[in-house]
Amino acid sequence: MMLMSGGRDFKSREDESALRLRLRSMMSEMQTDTSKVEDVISRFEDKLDDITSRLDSLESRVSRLEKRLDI
Amino acid sequence: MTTTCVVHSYRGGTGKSTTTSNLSVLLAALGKRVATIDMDITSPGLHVIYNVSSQMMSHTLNDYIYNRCSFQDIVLDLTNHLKLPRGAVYFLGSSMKPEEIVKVIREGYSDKFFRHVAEKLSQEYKVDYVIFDTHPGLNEDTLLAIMSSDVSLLLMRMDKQDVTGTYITSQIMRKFGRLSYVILNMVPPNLAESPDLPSEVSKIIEASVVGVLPFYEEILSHRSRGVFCLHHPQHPYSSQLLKVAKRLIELTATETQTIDLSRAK
Ligand SMILES: Nc1ncnc2c1ncn2[C@@H]1O[C@H](COP(=O)(O)OP(=O)(O)O)[C@@H](O)[C@H]1O
Ligand SMILES: [Mg+2]
Repeated sequence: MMLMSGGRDFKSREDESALRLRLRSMMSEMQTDTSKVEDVISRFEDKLDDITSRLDSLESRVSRLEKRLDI
Repeated sequence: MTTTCVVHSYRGGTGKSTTTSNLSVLLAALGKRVATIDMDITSPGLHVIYNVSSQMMSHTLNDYIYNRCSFQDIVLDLTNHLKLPRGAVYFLGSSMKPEEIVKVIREGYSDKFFRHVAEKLSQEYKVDYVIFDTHPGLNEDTLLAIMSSDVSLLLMRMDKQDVTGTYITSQIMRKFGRLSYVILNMVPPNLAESPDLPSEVSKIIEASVVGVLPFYEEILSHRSRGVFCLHHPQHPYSSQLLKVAKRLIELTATETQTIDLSRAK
């Protein structure tokens, strides 16, 4: 890791150092595909519903079994 | 070799400070030297969990930024305070004074700051891990902290809003060429039992899930009075997070290797 530790100039936003400039240019170039984001959300929702219903059916099967075995 | 790590989430109250503090003591228990930094400058809280009084915290990052103290003044050695038998935990706090907070936000940090702090901690305190506890969301200072770090741990709850934010954040990390890993926190206990949850979520959000932490009533009722894992080492939360700590060590070890290899070429 190569770091500078000379003068302590950590406070000025005006100090537009290389990393901040790179960050800004990368962020302004970014083109977020909102339909892709929506797709991620809906797949997430579906997956959770799927897992939950699988767990629910497992739970109900176990409880039916328990009833039958009189536990 | 020091690894710098950012604990981040898109939304607030996701468990960043809880995870950061607990992870620090678990890494110490594994023999590591760790420094945590409260970079949630607008709403600092890590000191509360560590039970650090304002008296103990005589100087903060804010003082250092404005040349009001030396670096040693802002580094608190919590190893004895937390009664840690192994490793070390250092803590660098942020000011809770609104006048200081507003000033730092107005003037911002320079990107040198993060690297400078990490370098100092690496050279003068020989730490293995520097963990930045950040402010939620995608503000520029947080993104700078992320860009200046080796690894990001993104915390998310099983909530539509969190998924959106985590997916977007991890896409940004990828653009920056940064490694990001996801920890699912406050997961409904029944859901947490599903063995394929991590792999399924990883596939959907295109980022690797390295931990699943259920929602535990006990953590909430602990009310941030001290680091939970130290008070309840046998609690499942502690064992789940210990797995994350071990995973982090593994991941950063291989990462170092790949870096070394590429340098050797
Ligand atoms: N796994 C969990 N189960 C239950 N409560 C949790 C869990 N993780 C965090 N919390 C609680 O959630 C609240 C917010 O956590 P905190 O770490 O302060 O979030 P952040 O730093 O992201 O704002 C705290 O009261 C904390 O005790
Ligand atoms: Mg916090």
